[in-house]
Amino acid sequence: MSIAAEQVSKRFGPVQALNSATLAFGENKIYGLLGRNGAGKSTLLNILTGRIFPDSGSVTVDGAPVPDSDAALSQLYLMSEKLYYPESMKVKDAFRWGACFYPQFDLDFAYSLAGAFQLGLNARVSKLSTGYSSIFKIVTALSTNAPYLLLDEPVLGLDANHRDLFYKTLLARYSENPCTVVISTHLIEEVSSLIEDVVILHQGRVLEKGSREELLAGGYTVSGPRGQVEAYLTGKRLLGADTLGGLMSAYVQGCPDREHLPQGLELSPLDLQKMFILLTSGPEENFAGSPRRGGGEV
Amino acid sequence: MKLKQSFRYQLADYKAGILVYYCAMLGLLALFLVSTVVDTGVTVVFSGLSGFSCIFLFICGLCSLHDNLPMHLQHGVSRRTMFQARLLVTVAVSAFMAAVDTLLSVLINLLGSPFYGGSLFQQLYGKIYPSLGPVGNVLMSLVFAFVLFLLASSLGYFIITLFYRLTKPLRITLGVAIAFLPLGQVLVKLADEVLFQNALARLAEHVIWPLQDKIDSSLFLTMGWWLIAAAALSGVTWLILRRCACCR
Repeated sequence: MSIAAEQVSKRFGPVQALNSATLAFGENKIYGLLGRNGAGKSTLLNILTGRIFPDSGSVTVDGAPVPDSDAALSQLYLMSEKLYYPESMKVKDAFRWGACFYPQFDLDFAYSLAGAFQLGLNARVSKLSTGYSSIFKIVTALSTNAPYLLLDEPVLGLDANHRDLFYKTLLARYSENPCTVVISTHLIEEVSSLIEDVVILHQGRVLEKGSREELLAGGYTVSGPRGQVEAYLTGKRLLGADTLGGLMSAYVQGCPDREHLPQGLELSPLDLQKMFILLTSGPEENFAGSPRRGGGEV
Repeated sequence: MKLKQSFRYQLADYKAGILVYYCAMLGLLALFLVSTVVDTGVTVVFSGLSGFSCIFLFICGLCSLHDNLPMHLQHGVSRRTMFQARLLVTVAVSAFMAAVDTLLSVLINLLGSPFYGGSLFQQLYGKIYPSLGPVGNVLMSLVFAFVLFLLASSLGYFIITLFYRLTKPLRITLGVAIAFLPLGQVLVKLADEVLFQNALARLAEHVIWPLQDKIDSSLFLTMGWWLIAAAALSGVTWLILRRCACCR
């Protein structure tokens, strides 16, 4: 039971948006789909839901091919940045049609969540502000009860309070009715605690995929006086470094050897955002502010 | 399969338009009714209602894709199901409007002098088929309007699907080519004279025009031809639509 993409490629004119991407989203997990601008996240989600066609490769949902199968498409709900509803449609009508197309749509929950977000039911969906447009899409997405929920930039334009409400509601909904949630976002720190598995896209390719914990276990941070840190780094694989005055934080690949850690140095785990930046930035960006140039073994 | 849901959605899309259209028609009729009270010598011929309905359904066909495709894809409906539901909606709406148009014509005729309500069928084929009688006339008007509406709606949907699928430069090129169609006819005539020694003109004179006359003179051939054209347009529309990406 999964969404599986096999060797999916897509080109838009001169831009290779996806390049032989192969990945799968399993059952009842929360995924983070991460990537820099133009990495191919939205293209991938649009291909997964049959909105656009790949140049090559295939997509299946629970084994059924996506673009032609209602059975496969019915398992998915993609909340995208763009609005796919008619301009003249009102929020309450959109909910009504959502309930028509998705038999498990929870209309009461939709009204109640719309109330919590102070979303006007009589407003036209095309006239909503960026934030309320996101709220409308969030409410609809969470109400469908689709087995696979794909959320593309779900918190776009939302204030901190609404973002908090969204994360809490998502987790409550997930606990109550487990499903697969794929969150594509640039706000990595905010979703870091929510997601179990991570897929990182970079320049149209799948750079990393796996559990968040495994990914983060592959590196650590060592901080302290610059000279001491530089000495510690000898023979280790350096991912990047930040320096501030005489202090240095270095991001190192591998497992730390705590027993032989020199005094004055501190070890800490990498956070997901830092790991993401290190994996998807060039050496120039990773060593910005540091006297050392270029990555690799020290 | 979400055929029923898609059918309901696409039918609902038509409802408001059809309501406004027939309200306008009834308003027009009321206006004529008032004019007969003011001027007693006037005769009101309320004919060719199907012609207006045909244009209305053509325009509806033109408006049926831009919002519907994204809405269906958003709700997990495949293009195939959307298209199948669209065909069913076309049949249902065409049948409904043909019935209403025919009923209106009958009602207008029942109003008596100075009103006369003639259907498009009666205008075009009334003299060719005088022996049908009132019931036969009504039934044939119904079928005639139904087939015509199917064709009009299919043509509108075909055009919009084609334009939706084409890239912007191709859309402009096609639009310009259609605008210059009369000039194209002149060019074809010229090419026929210069290159083919009027072979195309002879073909038209001996095959195409006689065939068209034969079709035009027969009600059943005309309706058969319209049905084939509607089916062919729908077939080509499906081929265009099945790989149509959603533009938003």
